[in-house]
Amino acid sequence: MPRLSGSARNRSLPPQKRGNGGIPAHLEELKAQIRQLEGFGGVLADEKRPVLPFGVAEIDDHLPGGGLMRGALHEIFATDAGIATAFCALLAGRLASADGSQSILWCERPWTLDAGALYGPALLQFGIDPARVILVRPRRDDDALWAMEEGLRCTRLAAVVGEITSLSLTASRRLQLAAEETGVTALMLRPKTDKPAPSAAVTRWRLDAVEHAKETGQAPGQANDNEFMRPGPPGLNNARWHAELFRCRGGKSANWMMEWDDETGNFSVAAEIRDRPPLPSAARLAG
Amino acid sequence: MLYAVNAAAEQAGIRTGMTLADARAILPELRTSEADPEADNRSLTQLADWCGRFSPWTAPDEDGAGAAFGGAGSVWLDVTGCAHLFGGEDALMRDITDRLADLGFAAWAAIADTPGAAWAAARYTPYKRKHWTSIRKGQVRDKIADMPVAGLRLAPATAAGLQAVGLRRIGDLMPIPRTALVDRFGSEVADRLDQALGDRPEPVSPLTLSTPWHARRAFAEPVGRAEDIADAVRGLARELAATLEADGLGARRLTLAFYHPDGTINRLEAGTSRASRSAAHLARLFTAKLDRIEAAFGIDTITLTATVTEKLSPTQAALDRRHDHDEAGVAELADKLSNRLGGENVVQMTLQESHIPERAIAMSPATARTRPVPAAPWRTGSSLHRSLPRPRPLRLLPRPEEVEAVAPVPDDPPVMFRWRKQIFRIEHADGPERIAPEWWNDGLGLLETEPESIPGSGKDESGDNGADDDGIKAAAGSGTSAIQDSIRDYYRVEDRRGRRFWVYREGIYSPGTQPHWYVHGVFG
Repeated sequence: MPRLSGSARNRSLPPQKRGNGGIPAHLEELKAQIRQLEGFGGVLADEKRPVLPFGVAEIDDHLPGGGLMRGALHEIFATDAGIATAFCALLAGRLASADGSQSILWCERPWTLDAGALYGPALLQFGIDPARVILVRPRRDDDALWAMEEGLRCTRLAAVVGEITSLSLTASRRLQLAAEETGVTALMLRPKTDKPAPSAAVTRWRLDAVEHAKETGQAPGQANDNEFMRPGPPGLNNARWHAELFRCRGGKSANWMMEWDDETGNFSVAAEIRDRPPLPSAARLAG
Repeated sequence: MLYAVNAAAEQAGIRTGMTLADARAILPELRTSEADPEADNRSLTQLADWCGRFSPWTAPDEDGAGAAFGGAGSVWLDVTGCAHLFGGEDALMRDITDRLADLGFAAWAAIADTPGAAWAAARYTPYKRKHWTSIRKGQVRDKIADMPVAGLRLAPATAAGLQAVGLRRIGDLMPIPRTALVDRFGSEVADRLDQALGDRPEPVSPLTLSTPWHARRAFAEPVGRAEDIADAVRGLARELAATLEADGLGARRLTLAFYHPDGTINRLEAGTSRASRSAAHLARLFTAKLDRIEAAFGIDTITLTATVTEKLSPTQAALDRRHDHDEAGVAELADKLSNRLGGENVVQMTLQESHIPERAIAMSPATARTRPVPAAPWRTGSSLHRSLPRPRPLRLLPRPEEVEAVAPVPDDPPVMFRWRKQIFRIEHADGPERIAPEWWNDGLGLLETEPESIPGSGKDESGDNGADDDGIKAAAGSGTSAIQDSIRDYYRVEDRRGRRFWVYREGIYSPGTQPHWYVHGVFG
């Protein structure tokens, strides 16, 4: 479909160089020790653990190992079910295609079902073959956790996605251990809360839609420059999400403005925020 | 008589072929041991085997070894298409000679267009520091011209005969008509010359039945952990599967070889019941056997070779792949989940050939028995995106929900709407995409039909409950409902807070009527 406005599309960003060359060796050693002490079978100390790169230097360089750790639990908090679903679908789709085309287990719960059921044709855009998704609709969170754990024990799955409202530390540990054992990646979609309870997840994310700044775009109804001179709002740009990595084992927290191109399926980090230093509250070493 | 001499003895003036008495006269402290040509041949064969880490195609040089050739045996490697894996020909040869030096061999390597030229170059290149050389494409004639005639792999007597008549260098032989060479020295000289120059093909029989279906992984540091090995095997299987796919073949027999740093090799063999190129399947053939591999000293290279292959059509391969995924693990999981949560709560999506959003997907129980066979052209990975006519929302409401919308221009998306007691102010919009039941506007020309879509989507609401295609088509045309009988103009809209929705206006706008707006789904 013709795009009514293309102003913010396809920014090509040069990869940012953030080599580790300057870090003394003993600091690396200490970091490895900390990772070991963090437990979870010492699995995080293993540098060779497979990761799923985002394909964006800013994010990959920040994450220990250069990407999202596979065979681990990751939590995504969001107010908007659509955005949370898209983020998970992107990661799950990439996980599924990384190992040939593997299956995905997706547990739906009411907090997202309110915004509608997972819609197969849209999954294609995320590189997911809908026929390879087992969709589970458990009646209770407990059932969903059980289904997720069962899924994590099945090595033929690429990813297990669960939409869970509340998650206890114990339950998160069980999932993390199961994921570690088989290498299947667990993605947990949760409604946003101000103070999330502690969990064993390796990374925890907060996702938000990016609000429109007052000065961006044209006012609704204002004339547009397309060939039909059709009045109305300008066309859609790439989807933009504000992603806050507020917990990252073996790494630091960070903020990014992510941009996702629904035509190429690629992530990028939006220019406006990428050069800013991390927020003060986020600049602590996660331990 | 001396069968072979080492570099130190050679420096002292001792040559292959001298009598022991002569040699002792030159160097009284010379140490000798009994020649054992059979053992030499055995170790040469082992060495050729060891070279399998560099190329799938290796062979001991059987007729160019032994006393006649100064005791220096050689191994053939066909490195066509292999060198880039090692960072180029020079890096490959450095790797080979370094590793051989570690194993206690003094080795020289040469790469050339023909085996004969490589043989000569390996022996008669004036080496400086490095132990390898290569003759660039098309330079064989120039490069070997200056080498002694012995470089043509001639029996010593023949070489001596040539030298006796003043033909010292290979270049001296080139201008002589071949028939004259044959008359004078027999066919040996002419044949070897032609082989070296590439005018006459030289088949060399490889040690193992070699095929181009070969994948190889080398490790910077020897690995020993079972997980690392299993990972590598999976990677090799993927690589091999891709090669097989490119050639339209499937593997029937496979060999997985492990090369250890101490020079030993372990091999595992596996066969398939029918040709397969499913990476997961190929890898699984070996998983149970991997613990048989002795990894005490680690493994520095692993290769996977399809030794026997058969034609395998893409459809067959797709069936296999599906079979692969449906079997065991996933099907068992679906069964287990269904047993506890109820079959209706563990479902699978199947795309349907309909552009009516609610009809484009069917749900069916995910248990193994009823697993539907997905129809449709969107199967293959690369075509996924292309086959998508329009962006679709990730979440679709079970029923469109009517909203109060403000759309000042009738043909435009709303500037705001109220849904579930919230106000959404629209900042961006794409559209419209007109979607209508096919029978409605055939002849009106209003529909943007995808060429491959089949008319006849039904309106029976059971589509979500796994009704099969026939059921849906049979229901087409019967019954009516206000929503589905009308044209919908869908817009993708983004509100001020960055949330995205799929909204539509029902019906074609006609003056005087209030259009109805609905929210049908949300985007990411």
